[in-house]
Amino acid sequence: MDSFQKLLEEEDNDFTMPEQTLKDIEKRVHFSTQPVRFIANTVDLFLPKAISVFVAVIGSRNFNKRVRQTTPTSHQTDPANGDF
Amino acid sequence: MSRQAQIQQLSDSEIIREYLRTQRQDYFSMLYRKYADKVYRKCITLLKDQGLAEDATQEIFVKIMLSLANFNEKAQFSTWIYSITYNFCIDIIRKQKKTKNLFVDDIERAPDVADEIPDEFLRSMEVKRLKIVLDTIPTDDHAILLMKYQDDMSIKDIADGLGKTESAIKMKLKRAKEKAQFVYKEKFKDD
Repeated sequence: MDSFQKLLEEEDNDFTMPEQTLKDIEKRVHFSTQPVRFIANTVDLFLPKAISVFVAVIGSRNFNKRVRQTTPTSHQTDPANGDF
Repeated sequence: MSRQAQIQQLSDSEIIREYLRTQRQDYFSMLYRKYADKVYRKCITLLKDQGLAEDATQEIFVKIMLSLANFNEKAQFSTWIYSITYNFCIDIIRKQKKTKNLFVDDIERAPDVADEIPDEFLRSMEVKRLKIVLDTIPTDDHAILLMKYQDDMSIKDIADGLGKTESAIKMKLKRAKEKAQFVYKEKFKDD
């Protein structure tokens, strides 16, 4: 066992968290995260998918917009409208 | 078999997956029970204050709980938790500017050592002396030496955990060892 592992062993003996403190901290962690943890984990879990969906929607909107700008509509090409 | 015993048989990754799927508290409690004491010990080693270490342990587990979905299973869960712990403690120390004292400035000016200091220098050091050396060097150097030599983390894992490049970590590790050697020679020059 090298010095770092011996040091770890010594610290394990010196700094053990009292059982009650361990329980108290667990309770505090639980209560302080209760309102947000489900949302946070769910959003994180699906974030890449959400981003890709967002990009896909925006991308297709821009594409459609460009198509609308460069392609004459049936209204513009209708000889009945007098443009041609 | 009790539910507690059933969860105990799961690996960390399985527990995380089940927790994310069900959001059941007993899954997280199992992870907490397994790692809280270890996280606390790392906090007290770096922060050197029981109250601060308890608060830090709470904050670290809040972070862990809220970002469990970000844990990718390429690294071990313990490695991920310890990286969060070291990062958190280093941030606290930086905010408090505890490291700003003259002796640390001297250490920062420790001369460059051309050759790599062998790991054996640290690994075979008497434990009491190692503790004094680690407590004297800046906290981020202390942390990086513990990550490498106590937690046996790879350079890649340390780099990922601290958000640095592997070459930056190698350089940081080299400088940390140089500072440790400098402190050792200063503190124990009469021996």
